[in-house]
Amino acid sequence: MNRKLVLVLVCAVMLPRAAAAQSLTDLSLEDLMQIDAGQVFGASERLQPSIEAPASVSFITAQEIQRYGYRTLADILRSVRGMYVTNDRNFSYIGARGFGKPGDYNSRILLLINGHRVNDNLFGQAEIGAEFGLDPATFERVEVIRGPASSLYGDSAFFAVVNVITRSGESLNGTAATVEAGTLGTGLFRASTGRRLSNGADYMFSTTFEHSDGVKKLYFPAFDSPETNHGIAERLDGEGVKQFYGRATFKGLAVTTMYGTRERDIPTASLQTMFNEQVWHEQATDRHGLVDALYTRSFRDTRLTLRGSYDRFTFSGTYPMAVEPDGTPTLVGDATGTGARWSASSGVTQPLPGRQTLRAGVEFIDNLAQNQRGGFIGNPIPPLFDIKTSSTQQALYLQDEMKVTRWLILNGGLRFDRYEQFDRVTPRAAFIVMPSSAQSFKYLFGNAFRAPNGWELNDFYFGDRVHQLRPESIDTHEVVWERYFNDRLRTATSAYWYRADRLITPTLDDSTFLGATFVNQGEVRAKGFETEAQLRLGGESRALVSYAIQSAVDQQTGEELPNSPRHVVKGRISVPGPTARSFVSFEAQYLSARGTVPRFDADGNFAAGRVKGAAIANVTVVQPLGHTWELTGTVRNLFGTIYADPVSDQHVQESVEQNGRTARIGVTWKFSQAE
Amino acid sequence: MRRPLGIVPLAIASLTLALFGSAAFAQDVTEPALKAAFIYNFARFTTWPADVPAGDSFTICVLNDSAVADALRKAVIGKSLTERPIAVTVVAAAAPKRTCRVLYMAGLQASQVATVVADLREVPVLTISSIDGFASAGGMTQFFFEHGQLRFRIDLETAKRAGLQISSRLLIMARPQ
Repeated sequence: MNRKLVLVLVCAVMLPRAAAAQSLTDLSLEDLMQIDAGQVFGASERLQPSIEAPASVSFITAQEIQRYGYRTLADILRSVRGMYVTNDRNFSYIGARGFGKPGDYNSRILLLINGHRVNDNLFGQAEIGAEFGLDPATFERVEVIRGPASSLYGDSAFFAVVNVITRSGESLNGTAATVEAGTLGTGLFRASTGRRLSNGADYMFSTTFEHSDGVKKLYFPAFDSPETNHGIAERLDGEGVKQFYGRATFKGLAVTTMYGTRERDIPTASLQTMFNEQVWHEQATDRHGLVDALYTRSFRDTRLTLRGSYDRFTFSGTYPMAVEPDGTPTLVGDATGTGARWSASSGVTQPLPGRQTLRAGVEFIDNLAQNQRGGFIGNPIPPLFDIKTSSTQQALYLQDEMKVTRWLILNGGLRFDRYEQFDRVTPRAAFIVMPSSAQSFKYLFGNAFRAPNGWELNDFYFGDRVHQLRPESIDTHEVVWERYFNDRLRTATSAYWYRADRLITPTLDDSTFLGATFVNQGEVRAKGFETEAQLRLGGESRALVSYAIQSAVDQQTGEELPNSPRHVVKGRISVPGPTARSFVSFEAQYLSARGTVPRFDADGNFAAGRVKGAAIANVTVVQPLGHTWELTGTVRNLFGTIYADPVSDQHVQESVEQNGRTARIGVTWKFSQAE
Repeated sequence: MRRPLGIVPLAIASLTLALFGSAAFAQDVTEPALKAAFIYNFARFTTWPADVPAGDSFTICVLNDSAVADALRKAVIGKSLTERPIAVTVVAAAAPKRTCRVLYMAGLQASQVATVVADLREVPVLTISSIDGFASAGGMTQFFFEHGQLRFRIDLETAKRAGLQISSRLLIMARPQ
C-alpha cells in the first residue's frame, strides 16, 4: 500500500512540473496544426469542445492507432479509461461502467460511423472485433462518449456512444500498400489511395485482406476426456477478413461506403456443439454493408443536414451437433440472419438569442428485413423456424444548449421514439460550470433505453411471451471534473450512479423450445469513480494513465455482476524513437478479478466462479526507412501473461483463455502525391 | 497473491524517461488557447501598410469571446510585434475598431458580422473568426476544425484591398477557398 502511495505522490509532483515549460506561442504553425483541441461531434451532433460537452469524452486519433498498433476497434476501446473488452474466441464484448455481461452482443453500446448508427437491426449488436467490417487504418478518430445518449440517438445508447470518424483522402494524400506477417499464421495485405483535388473534391478507397490460423492447439479443461481429444481443439481458431472502404466528399455532400466480411472458426464448442469436430467446424460469418450519404448546408446561421443510408447485415453459422465418422452430417445446425434497413434523417442546428444553440431532428427507419432462419444441413425437412419480419420506427428530437453566463452552460435534450409496439420519451440534462475555459464541472443526468432485439424476440426459441417484452431503461447521474493545466496536462475525473431497470433477462420456461424465455425483470445498481491524466510532451511524446473503480450489483441476488472487475488500471506512453518520425509506444492494462456467469456445477449447485486479475502489456515500434517505406512491429501480451475472460452460459467452460505473447511485423510503401 | 499494480512502476519509469528525455512542450490544449496561438501567428506573418499610425502598442481586439481574450493575454505576455508590446483589448460590437491591428470575433449572428466587417472594408485590420461563412461576409481569415485540428482559410483579395500583406509562409498553410 505504501508503495502505491509513493507512486501516486511521485506522479502528483512530477506531472505539473513537466508541464511548466514552453508555451504554445513558441510553436510553429506546422506544429500548431497537428494539435488536437479536443473537439467532439457525437455528444451533441455538432462539433463542440469536449470540456463543454454534456458527457465525459475520450478520443483516439489515427496517429495513436498507428503508434500503438491497434488492429481492431476492440484494441482501441481497451485503451480507454474504465472500458474493458472480453473475448470468447468468437466475438469481442465491451464492458463499460461495470456492465460487461458475457454474451450480450454489445447491444447496450451505440456504435456510429461518421454519426450513422451501425448496430445491426437484428441483434442490436455493435461489432468491435474484425467483424466490425472496417480496418482501423481507415479511422481518422474515434470518439468515446460515456453515459446514456438516447435523448439524441434513441435505442442502444445505453452506456456509451462510440463514434468512428473515417479518414479522408487528404489525410492519406497518396497511395499506400502494407504487408504484415505475424505469429499464429497471421498475414495482412492492405492497399489504399486517396487525395484531395484542387476543386475541393476528396476521395479515399482502401481494401484489406487478413487471415490468421489462430492458436493451433487450444486446451479447454472442461472438455478434458478421452472422447473429446483430451480437451484439445486442433486448428479451430482461424479467422479470415475482407474489408472495403470508400469515401468521397464534394462541397456539402459526403458519401461513405463499406463492405466487410469476417469468417471465423469457433473452437469452444459453444451452443452444445461437438468438441474438436474437424469436418463440420462450428463457424460464423458476419457481413456488413453500408452506403451512407450526408448532405450539409449552411444558410446564414442555420446549418441543415440531410442523410440517407442503407445498411445490410447478414450472419450465418454452422453448428455440428452430430456427425458420422465418415463426415456425414447427421445433425449440423445451420442458422442465418439478415438485417437490412433504410434510414432517412434530417437535422437543423440553429443559434438562438441568449447564446443558445438549438439542435432538432427527425429520423425514419424502415427495417426492410429482420429475418432469422434455423435448420439443419443436408436435411430435406423444412427449417425449424423461418422468421421474416420488418418494421418501421420514427423519432423526433430536440436539444438546446444555453450559455447562461460566461461560466454556466445549461443543456437539455428530449427525444420521442415511436416503435410499432411502444413509444418512448427520453430526456437528458446537463449543468456545466466553467470557472475558466480550461476547467469545467459537470452534473449530467441521463436516461436511455434499449429495445428488445431480434434474438430476444425469436418466438420459436423463446415462446410467445417475448412479444410482451418492452424496452429496458437506465437512469444515470454523473459528476465530472475536467481540467487543463498549462495546456500540457489534462485531467478528467468522474463519479457516477447508474440504475438500470426492467433489464431483459433470461429465465427458465419449460414450455419453450430452448426451455427459457426473456422477461423485463433485471435491476442493477452501479456506482463508480474514474480518473485519468493525459500528458502531451515535447518531441511528440504522449502519455496517459487512468484508473477506474466500480461496483455493479444485481438487485435480485445482491451479487456483483459477472465479468465486472472492481479495478481497471491503464497506462500508455509513446516516445520518439532513434530517428525522425520513428516511435516506440508501450501500454499496460490491468483488470482485477472478475466473476463468471453462474451455472450448475458437477454437484448440481448453481454457482459462479472467478477469473483472476491480470496485467497485459503491449509494445509497438514504428520506424520509417526514408520517405517511402515504413516498418512496424507489435508485440502483444509482451510478458506472456496467462489469463482468461468469463464467457456466456452458452458455453460449457466458464471462462476462455486468451492469447499469450503474439507478434507481427509489417512494411508499408507509401507514395505521396505532390501538391 | 499476485501484485495487481505491478504495471504501475513500469509505466512511471517510462513516463520519467519521457519527461526528461525530450524537450517539453505539450499538445493537449483548450480551444481558446489554441486559437490564441494561431491569432498570434497570423499577426506575425502579416505586414501592415507603413502609413498606419504606430501608436504605443500593437493592439489585438477581441469581440464577444472573453475566453479567447484571456488566452491571448496569457499568450502574448512579454511578446511584441512591429517593435511594440502587444495589447489585448476586448471591444463591444458598436465600438470603433479602426485602431485594432487584428480583430477576432465570435458568437455573432450573420447580420452582425456583416455590419462589423462592412465598417472595416478596406481598413487595415486583420479580421479573424470561426463563424460559418465569415469569408463570404467579407472577413479575411476563417477558422474551422477538421478531425479535431484547427484549420484556416484566407481571403487574399479582401486582405489586399485593406492593404495587408500576408506572408507566403502563412498562405501555404491555409486551406484553399
